[in-house]
Amino acid sequence: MMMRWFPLFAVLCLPSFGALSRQIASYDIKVTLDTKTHTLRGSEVMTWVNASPDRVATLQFHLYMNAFKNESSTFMRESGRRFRPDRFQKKEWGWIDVNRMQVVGGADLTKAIRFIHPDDGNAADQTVIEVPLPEPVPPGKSIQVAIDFTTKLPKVVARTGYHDEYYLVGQWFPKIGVYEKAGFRYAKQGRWNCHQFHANSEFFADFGRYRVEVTLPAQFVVGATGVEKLRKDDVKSGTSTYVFEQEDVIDFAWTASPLFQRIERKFDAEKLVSAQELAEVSRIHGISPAEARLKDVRMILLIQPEHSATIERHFKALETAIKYFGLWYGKYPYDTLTFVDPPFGAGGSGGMEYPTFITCGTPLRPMPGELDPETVIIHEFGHQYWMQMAATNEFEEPPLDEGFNTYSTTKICDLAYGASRLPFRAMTFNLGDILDMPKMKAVQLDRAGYLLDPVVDDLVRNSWSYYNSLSYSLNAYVRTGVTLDTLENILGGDVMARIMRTYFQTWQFNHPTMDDFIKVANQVSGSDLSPFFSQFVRGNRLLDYMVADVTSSKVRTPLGVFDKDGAKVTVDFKEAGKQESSQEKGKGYKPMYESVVNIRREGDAIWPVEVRVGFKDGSVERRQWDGQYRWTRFTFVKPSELADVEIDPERKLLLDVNWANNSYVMKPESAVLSKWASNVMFWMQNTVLWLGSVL
Amino acid sequence: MTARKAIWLGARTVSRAKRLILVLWIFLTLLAALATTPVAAAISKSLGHSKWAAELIRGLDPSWIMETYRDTHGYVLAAMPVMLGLSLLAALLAHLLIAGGAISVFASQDRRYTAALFFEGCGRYFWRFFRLLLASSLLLGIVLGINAGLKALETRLWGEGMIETPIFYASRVRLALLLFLLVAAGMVADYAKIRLVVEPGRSAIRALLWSMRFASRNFGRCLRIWVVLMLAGALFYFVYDRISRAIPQTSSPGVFLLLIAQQLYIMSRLWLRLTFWASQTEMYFGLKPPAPASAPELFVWPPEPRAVLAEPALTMPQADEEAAGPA
Ligand SMILES: [Zn+2]
Repeated sequence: MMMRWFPLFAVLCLPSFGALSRQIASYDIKVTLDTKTHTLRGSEVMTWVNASPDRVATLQFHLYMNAFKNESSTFMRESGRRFRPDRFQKKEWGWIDVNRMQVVGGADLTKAIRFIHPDDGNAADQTVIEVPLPEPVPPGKSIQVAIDFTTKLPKVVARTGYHDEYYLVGQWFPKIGVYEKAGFRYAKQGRWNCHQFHANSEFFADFGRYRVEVTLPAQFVVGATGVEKLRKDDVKSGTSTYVFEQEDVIDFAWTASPLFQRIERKFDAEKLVSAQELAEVSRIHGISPAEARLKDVRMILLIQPEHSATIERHFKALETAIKYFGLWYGKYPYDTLTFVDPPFGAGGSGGMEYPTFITCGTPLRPMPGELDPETVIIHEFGHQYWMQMAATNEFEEPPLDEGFNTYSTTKICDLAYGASRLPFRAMTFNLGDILDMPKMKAVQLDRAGYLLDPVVDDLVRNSWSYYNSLSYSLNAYVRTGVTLDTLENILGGDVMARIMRTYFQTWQFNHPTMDDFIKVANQVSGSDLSPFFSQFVRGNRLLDYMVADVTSSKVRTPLGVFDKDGAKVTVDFKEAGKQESSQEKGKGYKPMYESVVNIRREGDAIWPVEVRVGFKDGSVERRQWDGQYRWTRFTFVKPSELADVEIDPERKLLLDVNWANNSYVMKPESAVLSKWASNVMFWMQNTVLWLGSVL
Repeated sequence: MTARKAIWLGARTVSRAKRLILVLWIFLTLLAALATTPVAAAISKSLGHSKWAAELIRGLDPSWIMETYRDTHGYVLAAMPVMLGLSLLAALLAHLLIAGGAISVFASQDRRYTAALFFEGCGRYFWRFFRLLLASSLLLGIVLGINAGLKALETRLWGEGMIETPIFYASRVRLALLLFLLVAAGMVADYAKIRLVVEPGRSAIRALLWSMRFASRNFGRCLRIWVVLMLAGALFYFVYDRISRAIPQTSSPGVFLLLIAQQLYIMSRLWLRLTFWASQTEMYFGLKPPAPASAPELFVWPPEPRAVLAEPALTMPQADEEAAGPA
């Protein structure tokens, strides 16, 4: 049988004119939504370019939706009871069937499809298929495959599905894996990288062009990845067909609901970014202000009418995100960004990122002091940089996406919004407000989260290989954030800004790894940062320095027998007292104090630290310690008593798991203990009284 | 007997029993100290000599909380619920003890606190109140059952839809109703306690049944007492809140002032609780309760002086006696 190759597409291997990426995997999809059975019937023509020097004899595809097919899928097994759909009815499971797969103009491959389980050997998992080709795809050539598929959407469970008349359609079509040639990322030889759908992992895909035609009942409001090119209404069948297109993206998702209120506004780069801000960027990075300039973006909000009071907050948060991500890492290059507010009961589909398309979520009555919905909007937009443009492998290196994004989101939230209240409510009131608790910065919360279990794993692992779900979340999100914050404090803000921008600019649309980031960090900083990365990123060392014990006492006249002018002179208590009192009578006499400071390294991580020692006369001594041995001792003989000692006085090392033991004050502030003990006592008394008043 | 008069008389009674407030405050503080000690110990260990302490006095840093959690291997946090549970259990039993003593004092002829009267009351009525607690927990169960039922109804009506607004408001209405029913249940339990102290019967269930009838017949008055005293409580809290925010809590004198303000507030709450009981006792007397619903018991409890000396002997304004009779 003759296979038709498309040498023309080989050109697509290289960025085509105007395109930003190599369009390796492109899709032309037509899909119809049946709202009675919550089923999609689709057909796609997938064009795949073999950008490797290998002859590729098989294709591998993700069938993500089968993760929700039954409790035997790897996703369901790994997630334990977390996503266990207690009330799942028959019609609420989700699955995808490939009804037909055929090389365009060539052989029918349907019968040759088989399920594979590359990660865990779980034979019941149906989220990856492999198809042998009648003939391998030669290097530089492309293949087109036509696929008919049926996708049954689950009730919104994790990221995707339907709820009442709302649809969030993600991970819904047969999607080809990534063929990694030798030397690409960590590949030693050519191989398919096509992981199963795991509980804690997201995605990895090649860039491509997407053209998607969605047909559904006319009353639905629709939003999707990319730009809406066309809408056709069919009065007879009461349906509408939308055509969306986008290139340089790695995925496509869409949403539909008759309830959405659709609001479109422009991100006006000229108005929202000041000349001063552009000048600052050009100073740090040595680029022209013109190069730093951002691009206008059409912001499309699909919001629940009952949340309309939060429209301004939604747009302000998105503008903040587009602005700072653009200034710091490079402009957002796409024309649109659609953000979706899921309805009540469909929160599981909120807080998710797809190319040029994100989902957020807001409380019905947001409080002014809380950053809900802002944090989630900024965070999900941030994924456009790490998940979408950098397009790292989230299966294998989750921190590169979620963690880098946590680092960026935290900086933006703290910069643009400052400290905020945690969304802890009693009825409609904020508990922190009622109890007069202080507001928190995002960076404080990141460090608090990190301390839950700081070093149970290496920072970077396969998403399903972390100790447990908690460890995955801590490492992928906050520990990475805190690690990058620490690196920034060590290197300084400008150097870190250059590292981050250089990393993004060098690697956007090219699937970088953690090693690539480390190389950029070393180059840009001009120093060998491997001690940092080997301990805190590729390792699991615990950082903890402490002030162990401190003494400070007057230097006494030494007792004993001394040789003086050839004779032996005995200094006893009396004699010593005499000498001391005569000294004290001397003019300008100041007693000398010997102060001894013992510093210990409690953790197994070794990092140089600064020690600041303050004396009662206001003088300060600073010492550096390399931290190599388990402890060190500093001795000072000065005409003043020691007042306090502090390791890492600027608190650069956010990774240090105990800041409280980093300092020692000779005369402690008892007010603190009294205040908090008094507060705890007061809360206890009140609790007891409340109980009494109900009985 | 109007609610206003009952409160006025109740407040007067409590003002004569200041020592009672002091006794209760000492007791409450000892109880709370039990749960405070491990927390204070953890704070002291972590921050005793730390420079960070000076910053944390302005407000807690969540990462300090997590450090302490790590540092104590979670012992303190794990011990907290146990300590809390134990002190709440102690609080519950203490509440039963104290109620007996306090109501004995408030129902006595001259309504004057003596240690003998108070402590005798504590002991005498403890088991009766304990049985009453068991009986009234049934009432509490019914209230919670109603709440659960309404919640299920909300979920059924709107839980599967796409709009939160109706369920949001419905749940607020439900919670208001829950609060109202809890207040009513608390009121019924209070009058049952008074009944048990004032009348010879010892049956908790009968007292509860009687009290339900009493409270429902005089619901307006009884509720007004509750509303007025709750408003007073809200005012006390407001004043405390303003004062505590105004105190600069960053130095020892400031912290001392805060401690004083907190303990004054706690005393105001104790005063409020006692005034509740005293006012309800006055209301009870003022409404000339019907004869005990119980059948004559074989053993007739010797009539206690305050029960016999009901209305005429009391120096209580009688102006609205007619209006106050049960409907
Ligand atoms: Zn994320």
